[in-house]
Amino acid sequence: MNTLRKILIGAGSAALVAGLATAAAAQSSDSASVGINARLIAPLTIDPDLSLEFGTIVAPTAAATVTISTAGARTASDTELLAPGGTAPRAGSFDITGEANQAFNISISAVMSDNTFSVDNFTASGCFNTIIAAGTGTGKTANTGTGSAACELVVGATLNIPANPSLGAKSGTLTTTVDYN
Amino acid sequence: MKRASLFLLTSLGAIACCAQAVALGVSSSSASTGVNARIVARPVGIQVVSPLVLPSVTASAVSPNASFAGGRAFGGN
Repeated sequence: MNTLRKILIGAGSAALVAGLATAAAAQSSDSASVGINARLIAPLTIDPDLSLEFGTIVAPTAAATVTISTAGARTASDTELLAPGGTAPRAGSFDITGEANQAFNISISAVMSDNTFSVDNFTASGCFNTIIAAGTGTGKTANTGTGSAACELVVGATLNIPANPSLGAKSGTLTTTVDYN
Repeated sequence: MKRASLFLLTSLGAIACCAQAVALGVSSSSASTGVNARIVARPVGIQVVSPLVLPSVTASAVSPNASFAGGRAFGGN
């Protein structure tokens, strides 16, 4: 009788061990999959087009400003400062290409060689139609279709002129940076 | 074991793909153009050096009977 009991217990234990081993084998072979996606878009590029021209200005006896709108219209804090001649006043411009309808940031700055002059209050149109605050904003290329698209960013600004400035040609650099961030 | 390795490789691929997308996102481009102005002197204009003084002339009616010295009066015989 004891011998039979030992045989049954041994068989039961063996079956239990085998069952546990089977369960462990099932867990180790489980698997799942998820998708992998990416969207490649056209690189964002910008190239200079037209320079920003403030035209000929009469030297003021007090600090003054001359502004060029995105439409190329010229105004001044004192209209008597606006003189004809020289290069016609006009807004600056850049050519931008990138992914259609993909938003990007715009940052505009300018530096004059004569540091008694400065340029600020930038405005822009073309890639978008909102006024840029503090030289920054957002834009989009053409809103139609997909793939690469282009637009022309037109930039207006204000030239700050000191009182009794030195006479002659004044030049500087207008820089625009764009990125997808 | 092979499946586990494959899953690991797939995961690494997905991470690399996302990293590439981020790298594209931070790219930027910039360009510069000129800013120009020409400052000229204020025109002097026309200045008045001294007022022009004209002699005053008083006109008066001339009498028909008035006569010039050594002449005859207007309208007279």
